[in-house]
Amino acid sequence: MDKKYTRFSAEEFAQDTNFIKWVKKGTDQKEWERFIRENPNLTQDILTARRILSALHFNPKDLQDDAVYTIFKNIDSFHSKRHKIKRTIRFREILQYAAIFILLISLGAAMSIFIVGRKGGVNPQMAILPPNNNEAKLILSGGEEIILKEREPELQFNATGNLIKIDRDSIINYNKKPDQDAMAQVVIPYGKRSTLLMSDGTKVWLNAGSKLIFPQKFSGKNRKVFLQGEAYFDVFKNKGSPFIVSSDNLNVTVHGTQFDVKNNNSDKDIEVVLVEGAVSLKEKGVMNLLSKEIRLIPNQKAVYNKADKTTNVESEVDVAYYISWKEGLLEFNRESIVNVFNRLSKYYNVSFITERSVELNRKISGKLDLKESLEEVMKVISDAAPVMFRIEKNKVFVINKINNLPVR
Amino acid sequence: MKANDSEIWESFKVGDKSALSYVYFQYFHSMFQYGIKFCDDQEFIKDCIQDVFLNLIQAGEKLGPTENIRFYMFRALKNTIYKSIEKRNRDKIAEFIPLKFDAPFALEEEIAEKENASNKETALLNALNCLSHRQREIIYLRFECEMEYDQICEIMELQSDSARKLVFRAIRSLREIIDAELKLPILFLIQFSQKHVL
Repeated sequence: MDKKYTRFSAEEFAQDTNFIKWVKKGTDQKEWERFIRENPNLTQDILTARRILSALHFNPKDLQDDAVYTIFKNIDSFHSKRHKIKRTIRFREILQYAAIFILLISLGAAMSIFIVGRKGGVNPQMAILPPNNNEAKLILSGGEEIILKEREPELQFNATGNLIKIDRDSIINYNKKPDQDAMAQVVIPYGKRSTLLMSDGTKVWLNAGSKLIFPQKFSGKNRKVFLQGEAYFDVFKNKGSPFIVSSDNLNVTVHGTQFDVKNNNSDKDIEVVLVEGAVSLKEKGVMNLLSKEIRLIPNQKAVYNKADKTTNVESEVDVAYYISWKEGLLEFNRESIVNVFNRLSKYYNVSFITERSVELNRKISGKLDLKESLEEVMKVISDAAPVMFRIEKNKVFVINKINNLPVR
Repeated sequence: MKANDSEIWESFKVGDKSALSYVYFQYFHSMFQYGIKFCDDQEFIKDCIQDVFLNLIQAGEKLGPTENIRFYMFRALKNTIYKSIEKRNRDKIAEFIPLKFDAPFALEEEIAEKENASNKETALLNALNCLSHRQREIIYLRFECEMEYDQICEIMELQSDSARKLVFRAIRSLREIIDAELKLPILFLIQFSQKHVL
């Protein structure tokens, strides 16, 4: 404790920064208690100073939480418009590819959310399960498995499908003559992403937790691939051979141009977003003749509900929002926290455990850089939402921010 | 966190979205609490805060640097409130209306609600009533927001050191009244401080 305090008057105490911190926040409580015991003559002054400070306090006004978010939404959309020019430029670069679309297909059971009961379910917490911790691998048409060690492996097939380049240096010379339409597979676990150039010249970005099955060498009338998870396709134009992406029970056919397909994290929907050109969606099944085909025009999004087999089409969606992951960004526009955590658990291969009081449906907006560490990303979230976090190994514990009084 | 303010501010200026949400969620609440003291109209203050942000976003890289975002935001908010009130009153009154920090202390609200206030309380209330708008504002910025005196002077367009003098005068007037009512043993003080009651 500073010696100067032994000569302080009540007025001086009341204006001293350390004294104010003690009175308001209990900072250095023990030191001040000792100081009072050692200087009983100052008791009166200290007590007076405390009374003065308490008389000079203002009550904070109540404000509805909603308002904070409503206003932010206005500000944020103004911000987006103001900075749209930049975004358009970035988007152009993407549009230079021959044909682009994203396909995001059901993530299935791996992404489940469940309630953990604690002490007889008295205080259940919400947990997002850690995704399976498999290795990324390439499985060639003959069944050979190649483990991919990089965090973002790059694969390239040559036109005949028998030379495979993995990352910068390793090249596999595949001597077995691939059978007609023999299928290869790329499996990408959570926490990784990958790019793949297929033998027809189509480039694919595979997102975390995805699997793509494709002919090692394309031939025949159709170019058909099978996808589980999420992928972004840059389709090589070939009018004679339409490109078809097949998922659970939906076929997406590319009509020579650019589009974008997405499936929600929940395994209920498949979403298709068209960037440019035309695509059509068609349900699979024996009743093929009866199921109708849905065509999309640019900037439209189709949402196919797997359970009741219905499709909704939305116009003028923000395409950049759906493909930001490919650039290593995660963009949210009024997304619920639980969805954000779901996505992050995929990218960083971690599980989220949240306190019951955390408002999982609270909507947040923003952009996260997935090249940053999880810690940095979580800091951004804890600024946008009233939560605090602690990372332990591959678990992220999330609790509500403690609302410290006095309002600053 | 303070050391980081100028970096955050630079990101904010160039249109970084996470810097925007940081600044917004970090300072919205304190801006609201400060603004509402000038004009007890929630909707109006919310509009003013929104305008502050829209103007800052619009200005973008033309904005100057700052090492203290909260100070910058408070000053911007005060200017905006002032201009908005001026605009609102343009048709009615032509004369200059100064912006008044027009909020009661918690204690004033408390005593006003009581039917039988004691003599001591009435004396304290009278002393508080004597504090000017300026004194109230300085006290708010100093004791609630823990702002430095030179920044307070800048926000309030005061000569340097006059904020400190005004606070001192306010405190002395309260001291006289409180001193008269306090003749308490040490034991009580120690219990009192352990509870950290304000």
